[in-house]
Amino acid sequence: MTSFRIDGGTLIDRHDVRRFTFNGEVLSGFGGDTVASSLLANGKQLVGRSFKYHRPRGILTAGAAEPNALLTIGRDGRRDPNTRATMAELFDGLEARSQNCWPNVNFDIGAANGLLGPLLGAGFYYKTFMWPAAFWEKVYEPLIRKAAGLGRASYDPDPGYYEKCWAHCDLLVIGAGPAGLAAALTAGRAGARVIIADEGAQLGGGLIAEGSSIGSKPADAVLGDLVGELHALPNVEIKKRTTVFAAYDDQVFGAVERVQKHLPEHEINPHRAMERLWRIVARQVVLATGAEERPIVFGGNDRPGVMMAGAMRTYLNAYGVAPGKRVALFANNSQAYQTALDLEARGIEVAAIIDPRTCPNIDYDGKARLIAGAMVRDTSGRRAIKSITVRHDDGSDEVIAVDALGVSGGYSPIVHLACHRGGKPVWSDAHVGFMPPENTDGMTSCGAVAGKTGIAACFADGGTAAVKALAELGVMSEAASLPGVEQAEEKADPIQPIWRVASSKGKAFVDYQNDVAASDIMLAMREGYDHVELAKRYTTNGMATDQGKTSNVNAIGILAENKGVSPGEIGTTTFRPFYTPVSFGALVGASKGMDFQPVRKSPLHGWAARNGAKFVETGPWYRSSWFPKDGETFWRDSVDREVNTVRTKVGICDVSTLGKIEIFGADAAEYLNRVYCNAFLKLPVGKARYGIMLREDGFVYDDGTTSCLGENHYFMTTTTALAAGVLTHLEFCAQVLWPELDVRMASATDQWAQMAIAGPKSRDVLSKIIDDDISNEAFPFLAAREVSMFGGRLKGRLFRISFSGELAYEIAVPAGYGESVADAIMAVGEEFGIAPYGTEALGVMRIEKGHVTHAEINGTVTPADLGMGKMVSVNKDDFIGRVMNLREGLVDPSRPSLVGIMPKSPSDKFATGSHILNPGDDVSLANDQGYVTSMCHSPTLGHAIGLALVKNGPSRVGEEVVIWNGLAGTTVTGILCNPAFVDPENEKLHA
Amino acid sequence: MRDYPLENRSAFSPDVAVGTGAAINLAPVPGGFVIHVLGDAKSDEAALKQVLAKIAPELGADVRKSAPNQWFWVGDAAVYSDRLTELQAGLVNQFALADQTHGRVRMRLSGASSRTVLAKGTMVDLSADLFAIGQSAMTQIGHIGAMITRIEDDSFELIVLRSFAASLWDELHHMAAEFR
Repeated sequence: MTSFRIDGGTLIDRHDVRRFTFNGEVLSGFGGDTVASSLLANGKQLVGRSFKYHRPRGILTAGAAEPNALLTIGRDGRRDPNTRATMAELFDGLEARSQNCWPNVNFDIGAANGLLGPLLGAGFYYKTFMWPAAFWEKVYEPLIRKAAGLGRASYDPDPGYYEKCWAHCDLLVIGAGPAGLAAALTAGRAGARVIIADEGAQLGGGLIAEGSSIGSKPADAVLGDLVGELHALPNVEIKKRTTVFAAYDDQVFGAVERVQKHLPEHEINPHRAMERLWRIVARQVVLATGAEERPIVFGGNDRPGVMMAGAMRTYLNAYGVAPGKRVALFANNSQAYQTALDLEARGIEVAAIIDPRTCPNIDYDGKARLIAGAMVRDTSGRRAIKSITVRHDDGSDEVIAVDALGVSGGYSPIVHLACHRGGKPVWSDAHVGFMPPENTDGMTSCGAVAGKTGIAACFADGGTAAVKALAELGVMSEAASLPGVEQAEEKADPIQPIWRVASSKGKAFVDYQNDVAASDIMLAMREGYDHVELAKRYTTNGMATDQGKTSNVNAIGILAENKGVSPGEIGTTTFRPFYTPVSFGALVGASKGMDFQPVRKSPLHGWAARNGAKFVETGPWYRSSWFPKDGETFWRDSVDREVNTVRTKVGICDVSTLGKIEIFGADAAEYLNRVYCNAFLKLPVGKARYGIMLREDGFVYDDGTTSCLGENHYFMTTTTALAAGVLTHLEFCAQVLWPELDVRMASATDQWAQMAIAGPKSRDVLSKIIDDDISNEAFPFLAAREVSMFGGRLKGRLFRISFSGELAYEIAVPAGYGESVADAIMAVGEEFGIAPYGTEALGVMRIEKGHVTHAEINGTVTPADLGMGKMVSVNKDDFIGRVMNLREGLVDPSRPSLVGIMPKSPSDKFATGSHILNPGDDVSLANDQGYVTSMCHSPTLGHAIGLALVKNGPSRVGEEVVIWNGLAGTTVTGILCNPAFVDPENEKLHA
Repeated sequence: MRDYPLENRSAFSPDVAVGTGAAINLAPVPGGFVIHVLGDAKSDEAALKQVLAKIAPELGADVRKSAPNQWFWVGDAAVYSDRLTELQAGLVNQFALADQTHGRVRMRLSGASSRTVLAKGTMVDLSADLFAIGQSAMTQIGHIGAMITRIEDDSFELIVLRSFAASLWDELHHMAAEFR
């Protein structure tokens, strides 16, 4: 193998030898190398196969835009597919593999596709796989998906830690080339808070590739001085390896920092992020993202060895890598001539410079043969370029043997971030490129993205941009300048646009990553897809991971040329985040596995855990759902026992997750009277009342109890699910609807540990820890007040309310004391046979009692539908939902209304969600009479029971119906009944 | 009645490790009180501090704005329910008090890296020249709502709902791990 490593290379450290593998072969490079530079140094021009035709592909660029050299790097959970070899830093032990090839990159069976090339043009799939229609989903698409695609994601979990972070600054400088460095220095010296971010491993951008001197100093020494000063400024934050990928509203910018992706596994700190997703809030932004060198569309322009001229210069000067031994250049602009000079300075033969301009205005004084007025028409070579065919201006062809070809078709400003918020780039004939939109609020473009060329001009422009941006913030500053450099006058040096070389015979690629050739773009035009957005989608030009960084402008140029209009009239496709691919790891951050969402724990969580609770996730809450005892192997064993215990003895249940709201104010009673549909104005101190809240549209929003604890002080409970929603609703009512009312509220959900003590023995148990008289006379049903406990050692709030239908209380104590109080209740309750019960038993008992939850309060029911129509006040002047609740459709007596349901045969079962049909009707939703909202096995009754919303439900009690489970395809005969299966007379509540 | 032990338990498990180190330190703030003060539309912080100094000079007037016309009154002394009733009586109607001593948990994050750690969770700019000592912000740390108050140069007190306290503690531990 020939080594292409030569002298020089400002970025590499030759003492730091790093070994790596490429498709299993052991190779070596140096510290500072990218995977791309080390592959080139090892003579590996062929690194991958193309997407569609499996053509051999090499390394095209030296940066973020790379469309070809996409490798899979790493293994197992740390495997990163589609990694740009040009951006991946080399580390010792790195494993890289080519993608989209089998059995290997040198001999790829898929290359047979290339023979079918004439058939596989744009729209091939759409035209070919049309029928039979059912085959598309089952046959064609799976096959096509299998054949296409780039890398494959790992199924192993990534062991790395990822995180997100916010940052703030006065000035965000995006890009650390000469313009960005000047802007950051200008602002840094002025004392502004600066963040400068660059996607590269080193700051410098275009300066890194600069082989010559700047003023009297070598370019790398100048760069060292600039970066050194920036590092010394405490108000400047430098973010290397950080790609700003999106511009969002309110000057928030998304960026991803590759924190440890460049390290070998043994050096990775497991407590540090592999990648960090930044949200940067910037008062002003300087956009110094530079410009992307454009390829030229000619036959065989994708052959390994064809490379951007600027990339050649980077590999040469920064990495000490020769692109070949005999190189040609094909360029329509004069910047590319610097590549020729640098190649020659390193002793590399430049066979020819092919310039389509007939009289290029250049200063080139090198040895290479200049062929003006000519174009490269085609290339040859099997796995790498062997020769180019030059078409002279007289129409003659000449074959020149080369092993590398540098190409430069002009420069496309990297305008993405200036366009993410909707701005459209503006075409400039002078620059032969799309420039950033003029009106970018808070963002100033400078340097190459603003059309400047040359180090000195870009540096000066960066300083000026920072002065302008800081002036917007009222900060005076002076533009930084490069010492010893006078800015040369810009020479008239027009670029001659070439959108494609018409004389080419071979496939001339526009988009390397998607294998879109010039012929595909022209086919799309012929078939009517000539709008830029349609052409993109028809041909896939500009899609996939590189998003057309090297292809979009050429495609637009071809469309324009063929329509006879300016590229500006064609316009660009829409720019959206992300500028370059962002890993899922970075987007997910730390929110994975058990950290997927926060966990919310009741103050009684520890008590429940000690009592053996099985927990269930209810939103972020972990609620105890049942408490298995020894010998209980099935959940219902426990639930049935818990229900029976409560119905016959006493049970204790954690209800701390219910929403609790303290309400204060002189107008609190009037306020409650307006938010509930039933009366609250005269609720006396020491009393609780069940209340129903309606929405404005007259349907039920939520229910719960509200207690009057003192004059102008109320305590509201809500359902667990709507705790936050109800408080938001209440605040809206207080702040927006009735600001004249004196009412204030605070969430107290977390302040109290609340327990339901239910069952015929509940009073006996509580009497042992509560000092006050809680006899039925002294503390009747719906009493609510503060009580003294444990001989005056603790105050709690006691409510005589019942969800189970039993004699029951809820006791609330300050959360920290919750576990002690629950332990004490268990201890004093032991003689009464107390048992803890969970939400499952709670649910069974409320169904047995006919109490509703959000299974019934489903957003489509009125109080009347739930059998509580009489609660809706007819005396109050107004309340939320009053008018809309009277709508014709909402008072229709045939509406589905709450009714109980049970199987005719006690051994039959049915499922929640089953539909109700009249006997004899066809089994069809056309005959639907309603559906089962809740069901359970009732241990009290010994068979299945349910609640249902059925047309005319209450008037049909006793009727036989069919319960139809459409999913299981089963029917059961049921009987409609009173929804209160247990204690319909409410005698237990008042016991 | 048997003399049952009544323990005011922390929201953190007993074996919670206090994160210590030169760069970062995370510790619960035990005891004390958090009282939610709900003012009327005309109330302001200066008036609140004045009246608190008058009725409860021993409790201090560390009030942290939690919402328009609402504050968390925070201190290190213990305030029991009888004392709270007395305080409310002294405030008449302009300010209502809701005890949140058990509902809100305080923890302190300090050390040179404290801002960096918090920046992983909150979008509030906590830089020293913009977020003065004594200043508070109601915000989110990750997905968990929290109030951040700057206590000293590099020291912040966080107030979080009790039910989320252990979860926030775990998240802060992850966020701070690289600095320990």
